[in-house]
Amino acid sequence: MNRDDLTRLLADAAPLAGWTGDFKSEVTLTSLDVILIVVRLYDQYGIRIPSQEIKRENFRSAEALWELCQKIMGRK
Amino acid sequence: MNEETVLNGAALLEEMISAMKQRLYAASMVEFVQRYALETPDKLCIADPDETMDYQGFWQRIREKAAALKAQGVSAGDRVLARAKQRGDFLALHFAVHLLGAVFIPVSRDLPPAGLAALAEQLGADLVLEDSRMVYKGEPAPVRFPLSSETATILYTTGTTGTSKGIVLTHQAEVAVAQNVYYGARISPDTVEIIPMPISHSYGLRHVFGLLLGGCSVVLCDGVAMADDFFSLMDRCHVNAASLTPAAVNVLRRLSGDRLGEYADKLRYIQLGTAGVDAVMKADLRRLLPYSRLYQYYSSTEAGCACIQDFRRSPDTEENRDRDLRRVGLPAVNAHFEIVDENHRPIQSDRQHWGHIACLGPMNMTGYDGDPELTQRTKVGGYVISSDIGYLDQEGYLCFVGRADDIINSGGFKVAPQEVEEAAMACGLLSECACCGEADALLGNIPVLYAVGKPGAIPDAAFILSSIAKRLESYKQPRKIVFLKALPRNAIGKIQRNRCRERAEEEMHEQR
Repeated sequence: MNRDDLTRLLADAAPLAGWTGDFKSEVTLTSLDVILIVVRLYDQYGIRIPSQEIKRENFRSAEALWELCQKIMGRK
Repeated sequence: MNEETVLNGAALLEEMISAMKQRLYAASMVEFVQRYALETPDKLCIADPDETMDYQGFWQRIREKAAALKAQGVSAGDRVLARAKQRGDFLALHFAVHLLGAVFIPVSRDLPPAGLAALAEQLGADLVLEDSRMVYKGEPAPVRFPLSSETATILYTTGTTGTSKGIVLTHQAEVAVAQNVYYGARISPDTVEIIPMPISHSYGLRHVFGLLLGGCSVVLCDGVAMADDFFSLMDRCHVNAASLTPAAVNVLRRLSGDRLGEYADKLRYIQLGTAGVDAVMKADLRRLLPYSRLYQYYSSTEAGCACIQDFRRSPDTEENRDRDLRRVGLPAVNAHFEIVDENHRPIQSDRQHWGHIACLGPMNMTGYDGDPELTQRTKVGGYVISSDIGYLDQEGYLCFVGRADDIINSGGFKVAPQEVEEAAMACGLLSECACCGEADALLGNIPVLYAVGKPGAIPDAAFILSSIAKRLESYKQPRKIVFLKALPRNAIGKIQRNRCRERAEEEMHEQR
């Protein structure tokens, strides 16, 4: 998965969250958005986010999520 | 129609109210808080991600807020509408309004500003609060407890009939429903229960009341999607019970695997409500939490938490599975059920003979705000007549057969298709649309919009979604828009919501 893939996934799973071109801009996610993002990351890319990592700080921006995914992919 | 055969619960209701007063009783929930502030001042009352309050501190917060509201001109009978926040501070506001004899109207935290303004006008709100925080340096408000017959709260709900309604509840109703929960789930005073369900909705709010009735501890959190935040709060507050929904269990299982099972020796019980618990989930929870009591509720905002069942007590055998398929429980301490025909006459029901479920009890609503006609149709002889169809089995269990409408139940939240369609049409790009529920592994159902664009208009899903988002709460917003050439209609031209998906597949097939 690259950054473009993540951008597409986020826009598709949470279309109303307020994503911009800026990876670092903060977004507001609803519970449903978080669930759909986590589920799609696993279904589409096999990235399983451990429950210990499902916390607000990891979902505050596309950048934060990208870093989390990188960390998880590095562990594989 | 023979008058004698029509429902009349007046005498039975009097008996029920008398019995209710023999149990843990005060005329209002705020009075319980004051009682425990005197009896167990240092005991944890409310915890949330931001703060913890003991009973004394919570009572003090209520009085400070009451003084601040009074300074803003709020007095008995006024209506205070407030955007909910899943925090103890918001609960303090709830009770502060009651301490002044005013009526509290909590609304969903993500209701857009336009929706909030429209609701305030519809309900005639005297004060609208976007935030529960308020600063007041003066003396706390004098204590004047409300009477049990006074209106306490108006819960705004989509319900199951398709239109948004304000459901009027007295203080008596709030105490009665609290008793239903407290005695139904055999709650004890040392219970520390986590509630991630919104306290602007009846399910979350009533489970808070059940705990405060017994002087227990409430832990509030923002849903379960942030799984680690949820479990961290459980650890920090030494939680020993939980109120969830089937959708929340699905989410927790999906996001955190078996982590809930790590609390098997800590969780005394789990309460589940807002939607039925299927056999697969029952079996899963029995396995995951072998020592916990597992309750399911049958309830509505109109006749709250009226029926409860501990499905742990029913062994998972072939015979029981068939029998339990439709069972939703036994009547709660303040509830009595009848099964009635379309003319509201009680019928002898069984597995083959169904009717509308009618519920009597002091927890029943007063009526629908500003809608006497709907109230008259729904409340007959003191009973709340549901659009749910069911029967009472030989052992007195209420059995649920089905729902007589097309409301979408998305993760426990009720979504009226008409409301979504109206919001979508307001974008100006569509000639027609239909909202339907689509099966979803996590949430049970999700709203999907099937839309036909106006001639010449460019179908822009993002624009339509953002337009809807300005009008509706997030759980009502469609997760997907499917554009069609035309909506399916029956012979008399009525849109067939249940055929939209099929039509989409047909159109896709034609394009190939």
